Amino acid sequence: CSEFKRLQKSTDWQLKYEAALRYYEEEEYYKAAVLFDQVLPIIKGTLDAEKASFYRAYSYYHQRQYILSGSYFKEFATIYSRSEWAIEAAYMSAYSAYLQSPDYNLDQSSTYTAINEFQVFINRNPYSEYAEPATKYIDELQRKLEKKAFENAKQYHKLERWEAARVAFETFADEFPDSKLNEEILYYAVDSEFSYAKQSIRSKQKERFGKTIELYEEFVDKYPDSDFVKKAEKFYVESLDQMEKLSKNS
Amino acid sequence: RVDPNNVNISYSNPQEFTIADIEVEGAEYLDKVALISISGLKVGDKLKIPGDGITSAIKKLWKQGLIGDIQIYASKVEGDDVYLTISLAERPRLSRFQFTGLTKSQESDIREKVNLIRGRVMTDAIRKNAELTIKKYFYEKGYLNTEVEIKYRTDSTLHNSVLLDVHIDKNRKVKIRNVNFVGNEHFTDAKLKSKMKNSGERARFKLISGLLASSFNLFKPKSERFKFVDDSVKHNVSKTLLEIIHENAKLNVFKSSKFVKEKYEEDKVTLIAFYNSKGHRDAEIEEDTIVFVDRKSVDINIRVNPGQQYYFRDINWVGNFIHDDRTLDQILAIEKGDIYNLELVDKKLNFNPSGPDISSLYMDNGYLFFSVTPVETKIDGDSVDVEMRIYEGAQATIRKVFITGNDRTNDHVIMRELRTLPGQKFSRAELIRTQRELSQLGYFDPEQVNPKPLPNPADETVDIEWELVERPSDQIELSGGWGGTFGFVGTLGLTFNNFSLRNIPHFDKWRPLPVGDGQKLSLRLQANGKRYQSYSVSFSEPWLGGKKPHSFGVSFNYSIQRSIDFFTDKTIGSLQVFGTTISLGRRVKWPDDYFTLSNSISYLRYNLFNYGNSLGFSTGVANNITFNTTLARNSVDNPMYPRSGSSLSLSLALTPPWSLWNDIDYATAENSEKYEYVEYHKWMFDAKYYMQLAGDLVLAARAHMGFMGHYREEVGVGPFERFQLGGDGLTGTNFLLGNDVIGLRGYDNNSITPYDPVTNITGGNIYNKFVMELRYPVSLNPSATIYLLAFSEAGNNWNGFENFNPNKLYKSSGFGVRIFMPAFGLLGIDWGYGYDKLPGQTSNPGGQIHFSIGQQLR
Repeated sequence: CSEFKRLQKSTDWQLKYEAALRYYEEEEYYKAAVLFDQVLPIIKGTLDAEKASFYRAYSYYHQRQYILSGSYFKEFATIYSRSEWAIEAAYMSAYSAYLQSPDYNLDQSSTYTAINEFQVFINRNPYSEYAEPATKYIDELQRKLEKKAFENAKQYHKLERWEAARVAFETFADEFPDSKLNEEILYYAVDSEFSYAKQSIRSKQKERFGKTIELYEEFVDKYPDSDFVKKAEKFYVESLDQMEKLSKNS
Repeated sequence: RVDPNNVNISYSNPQEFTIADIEVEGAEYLDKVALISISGLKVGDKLKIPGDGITSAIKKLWKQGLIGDIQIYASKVEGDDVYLTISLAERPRLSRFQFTGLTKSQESDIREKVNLIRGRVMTDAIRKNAELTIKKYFYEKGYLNTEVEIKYRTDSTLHNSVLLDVHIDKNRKVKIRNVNFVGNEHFTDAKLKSKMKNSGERARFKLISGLLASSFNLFKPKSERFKFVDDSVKHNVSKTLLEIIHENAKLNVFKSSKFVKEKYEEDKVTLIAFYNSKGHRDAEIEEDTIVFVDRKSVDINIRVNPGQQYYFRDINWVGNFIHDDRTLDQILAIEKGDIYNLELVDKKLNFNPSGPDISSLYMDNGYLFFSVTPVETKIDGDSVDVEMRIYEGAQATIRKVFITGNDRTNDHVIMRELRTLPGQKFSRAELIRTQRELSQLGYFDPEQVNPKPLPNPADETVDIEWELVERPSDQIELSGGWGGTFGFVGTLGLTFNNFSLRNIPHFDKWRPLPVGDGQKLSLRLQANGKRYQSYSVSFSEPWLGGKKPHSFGVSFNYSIQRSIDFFTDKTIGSLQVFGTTISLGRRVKWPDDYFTLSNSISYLRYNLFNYGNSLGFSTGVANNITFNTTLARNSVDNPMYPRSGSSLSLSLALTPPWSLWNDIDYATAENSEKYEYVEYHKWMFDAKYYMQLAGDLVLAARAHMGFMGHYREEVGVGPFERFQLGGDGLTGTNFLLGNDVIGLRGYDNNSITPYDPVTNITGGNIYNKFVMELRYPVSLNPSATIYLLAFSEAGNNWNGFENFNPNKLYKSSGFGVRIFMPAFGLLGIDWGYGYDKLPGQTSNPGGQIHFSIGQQLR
């Protein structure tokens, strides 16, 4: 029977608590977390409980169990709002969510949680040493959401679902007005609307080539020096030609 | 908050104080410093009294669940300084609790339900709640006489703690003996009982005693006939034989007869709904009593007042601008004079599973905000006028479509399947179709694919969120078994259904393997030492290039079968098969867009060395190059447990007509020479149809046919790829190479296989097989889908058209079970009884047990 097994079965909570702290110092985070979990309901309401619950959160954090560490940090920050570690816990709660946030092409719920928590943190502790990294991470996560929206819109373009692509590009511009990707987005919107117009039935073509021209004009006004201008111009010129033909025939 | 010093603290005039000191009284076991720290109050802080500082302190302390009663009061006030006292009453904590009188599974259910948390302070309220929760749990299961006893015991190992001993005596289940109706003049009692889905009568069979009793009862006075009675056999005065049978024999298979109050209340509602649907719009239950006959049974007596039967008169449409009255009338299809039935109206207005409805007329064209309310405007005698008040609303355009819950599968794999596109008008039909198609992908729990329209009425748009729940889709097959003449054969198979080729180099994206791009990779090894080995690898990509749903697949396999001399350990004969296939498939829009067309080229090379005679020659090489094309249609609603829809597939495999240009005299050539390049054409047809009979009971009907023909009479079909019928239909455990193995339960493996003594070839070239299966699910949980089935099937396998006789089929019946677990795929076991004698046999094959692995095509 190993020492850890014996401690697990022991009823002496004092012994367990001290062993948990020792395991934590020795970086045996799994064992520490197990013992903290056992000891916490019993020592609730004592001075040790504060330390134990803070260390428990870190034990899970070091085991890369960010869902658990996030919720324990959050719990700590609300219960022990007066503690010297409260600010750190609030930050770590958000940071745990940040670490959970997956690649842009998967579900982003933890990204939203992280952004919210970092934002609340900054609002409450604007002068904390953690405020600066929090701002940086919010930025990084925003970029990720942008990338997600951008790639999804671009996929409609790739799938040649032109109308869907144009709407998605426009929605992107609404949602991320300060994004650097807007230049490319607007170019793709012109491209999509042009392709959509070209494959439309005659009665709809006029309206859609018109929309292409409108989108192009917006594009050159905003990004006159863009690398995409040359390519976009072709759509513009051809749309003008088509419009002319259409009005002649009608 | 008590104020002993008479300081003027009033709610109308909050004052700010500085906390000078905090005292804790009444804490015996709890740490005072910790309590103050939890309260969030600190010496030196400013505090408004009255104000939310104190309230939040009390809340925080209370949330710990440690304290029975909390008060915070100012013990002293000096100028701006306040001396606070936290006064609390400690209660013992709950250290442990144990249940007696429960089974293991009940205990784990109850542990989840009762909110007993170890380490929390015990109060009477918690105890009472636990008792009620346990009772409710058992009431729902029909144990109406459950007794719960909860006792406190001091825990000697921990200070200030108690143990709870919970003893439960659930007693006997209470079942419904009789349901009696009074006032029911329009329908038979049995009809009404059939509407009460959750309160069935207990199964019984006392026909003989019932008949006897009824014959004695003839002498009883008639006045007893319509009285509430507590024994069903008492009032059988002048009843028909059928009624007597109904009353005294009850085979209760699908209905529950246990008495559960809530379910009974639901049943009363359905009973009224049934009356309403027959035009009795005023029907009511005037009185109902539940009589405890003894501790294990109750009688239910219901007095109904059906009221008058009503009929539709005029139906008017109000508020419709887009569709005219005539169109709407046609869809509603209710005529003046029809029996008044609001349920039917509701179905035709909102959701009609078997035809068009008014809502879909609007909703499929973007009118997301559409609503319709039927209002009874006038009731004249037995006629009802109805006004349909329509709100058409604006046409909603889809703005944004997004996915949540995909923590393994990449967005683009899902996005490309969606039919709800930005810029389109909202359509309910497309939503339902997409839901079905996402379920079919196999990466998500089909029961939890949930489209959520999020309307933005301000700009008349709608966002659509697709809520998904991932489920493991990889499968592992690890099996060992005795295979015919080979002895022990081990199998290792791995299938990754959601593989990602491009993520292989990115270890950080492995979860725990490269997943998320919807590609499929499978590997399979099967071997028993030297005698039999088989290896196969296949890969497929459903969207080659990501632009169009063109699927691409490639596979390789290699198998070898050796006969080994037992004494010298030398190979005395062998058959090697090497094969490769490349396929391309696409969805087609014609005849409708449920169709797929796929083409493939495969090459198979057989290398025979002194290998018996079943292929018509024993040493030589045969090459088989085929071009295969398959047209398939699939509209099955759920891949695991289909309830509706059908799938059809027609495929044709062609080899080049070698005999046109090679200079072989087929009349005299040796078989080995004749079959060096195999030629044939092979047609296969498979049809499956699923129909929901009642609830989850599903009828699955299937038909399979196959035919192989030759290009030239003198060449013939050849020995390869012929049909072998009978048994479990598993290629993997038959170890027969170069054949098409088709199952037929109730017969030995491959026993229905003709042999031609002239050409020396085993195997048929025409087969038919028909299957009827009744399925009922035990569990639809995605971690283990289990269903039971009963089947009847028939099939035969012929060699040559001259022998073909579709009326002569080998028939069998039986039952079985299928278990689907995501990690193992579909496993099945069936017992089948073959009715017909095979040629050369003296009796029918009788009962047979069959195992199956994986979804079988045929």
